[in-house]
Amino acid sequence: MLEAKALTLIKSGRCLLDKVNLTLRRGEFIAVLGPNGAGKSTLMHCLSGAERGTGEVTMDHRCPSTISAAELAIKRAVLEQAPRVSAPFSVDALVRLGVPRELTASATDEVSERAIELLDLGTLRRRPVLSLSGGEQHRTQMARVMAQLWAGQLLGGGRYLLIDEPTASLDLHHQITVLKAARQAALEGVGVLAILHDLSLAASVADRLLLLKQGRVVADGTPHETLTRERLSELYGLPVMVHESEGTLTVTPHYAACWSDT
Amino acid sequence: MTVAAMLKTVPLRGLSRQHLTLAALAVLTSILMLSGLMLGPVSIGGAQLWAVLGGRGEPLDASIIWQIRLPRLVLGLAVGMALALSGSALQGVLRNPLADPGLIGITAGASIGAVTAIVLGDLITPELPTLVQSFLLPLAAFLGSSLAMACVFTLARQGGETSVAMLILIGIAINTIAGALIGVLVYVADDQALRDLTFWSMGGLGHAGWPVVLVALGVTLAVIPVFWSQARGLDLFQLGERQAFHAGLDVEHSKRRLAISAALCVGAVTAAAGPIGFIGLVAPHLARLLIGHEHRWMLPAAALLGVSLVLAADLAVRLAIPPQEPPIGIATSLIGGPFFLWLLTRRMGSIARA
Repeated sequence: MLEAKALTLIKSGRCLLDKVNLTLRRGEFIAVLGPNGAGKSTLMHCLSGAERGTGEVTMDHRCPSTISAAELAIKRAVLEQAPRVSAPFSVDALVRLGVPRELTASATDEVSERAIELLDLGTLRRRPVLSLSGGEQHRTQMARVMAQLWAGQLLGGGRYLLIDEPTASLDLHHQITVLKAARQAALEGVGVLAILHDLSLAASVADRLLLLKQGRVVADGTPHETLTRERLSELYGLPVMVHESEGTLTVTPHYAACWSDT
Repeated sequence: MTVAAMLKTVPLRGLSRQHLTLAALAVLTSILMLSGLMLGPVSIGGAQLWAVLGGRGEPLDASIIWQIRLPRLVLGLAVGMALALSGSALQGVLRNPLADPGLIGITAGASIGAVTAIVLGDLITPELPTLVQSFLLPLAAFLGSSLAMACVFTLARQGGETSVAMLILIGIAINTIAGALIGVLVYVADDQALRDLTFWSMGGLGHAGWPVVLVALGVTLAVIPVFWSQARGLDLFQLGERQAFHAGLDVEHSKRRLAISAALCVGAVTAAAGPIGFIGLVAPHLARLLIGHEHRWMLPAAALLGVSLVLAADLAVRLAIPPQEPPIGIATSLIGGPFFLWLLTRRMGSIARA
């Protein structure tokens, strides 16, 4: 279980996180939503062990920022927002870079192969990453993170997957490809936390949604509990419509009302 | 030798392009090593060389080999490996292709230390045994290079990333400060120190005696395993520091080890050979062009190329107008200067943005 209790982070006088409570159980898919600057990425950094706030964060009853980087890499895999590589590694080499060295060569081959297949990178594997389009680079990074997660599972970890805007700059098809990979992981018992901006996509894929505003949790619950018209209109400061069809919610701005202001 | 040992730890899946490239570089390095022993104002043939190394040769040949050419060759090995590996490591950690120990001021830091030791050393340690005195110079140079390294690493960071422009500006500042301090020291130096200083500051493989050469080689060989053990870490640094941490790298620990190793070996070889520029810039870039960016291949290739470049430059200055011998720095700068300009124009876009 990955848990935050009254997590607060103040940096250069600004309160980035304010008494955030969150429980991510294994096998659960949580989407974190909120306007820009709400503290979503900061929350993920605290959960992944990269930052340390006040309050309590525990990963399987231990504080992540006291666990060594190598051990953390086995327990959880993290995709940063907009990751950039500065060296022209090939797709294949970059995906392998995610696999901890403890894994045997054949197992490394296997998990990286699986990740490349899953993210539809088979035809690009020899290409240098820097020559790919933004979306293709992003998928390569996601493949690296999935390879790290599976490698962690072979080494007795691989329990949590934390992904920051995994669908950014992806086309519709590949948005689903990436989230399918994360969902499959959740079905296999991994606790998944994804920062998303597309409310409808989040509502369809996640078990629970966490809405943040200015470092505070505004709502935490199932999509039907959290995504109400009033709450979203206030959260994003613009009129919003929530539709329901065939059991899934669709959230869009109330376009007519938005444009009539101008 | 060390490179061969490095290669054994690489899993072999048949002979790849990388293996062949490394083998070709090893052959090139060996040829240059042999030429370094055989060529010069007095040329020594293969048979004579073999006899001397077996302990049977002519006394004149023997003294040329043992007293002049072999220390020179050994120092060339140390300088080439140390500068190329430090350059590779700094470029990897700072994610910055212009991070050459000379350009960013590490060599200048070592120079302050070394010059201080040359000028003021006699005041501090007149009655110390010679063995300790031969350590004083590398030690002072190491202190200087570590100080410069600490400055560069603290100042060049802006929000977790190192900007290219900032790095070069810090290099200019450190080089200027070093120039001024060395000026002060030259002003107060006595005649003997001034003479030592002049020879030292021109840079060259020919001025150092065995003790200093052995210290340079020993330090360099001692830090090679550190660079080698960080090959994957250097790969991970290319993802950015935070993502490298997520992938299991203890970023601060790794950075500290690499920085200290680079400061140590740059200090040791600068103490012995004087400031030699551009090897740390040119060798890693050629290595990446030839063998790719993965550090487990790139580090041994850069080390071999560094040695080759230093030995080639040394041969060039030795054979240009014998028995005159222009400083080796001229040769390395003639290759390195234009190379640096080419690199700048190629990266103009990203530097303008930084």
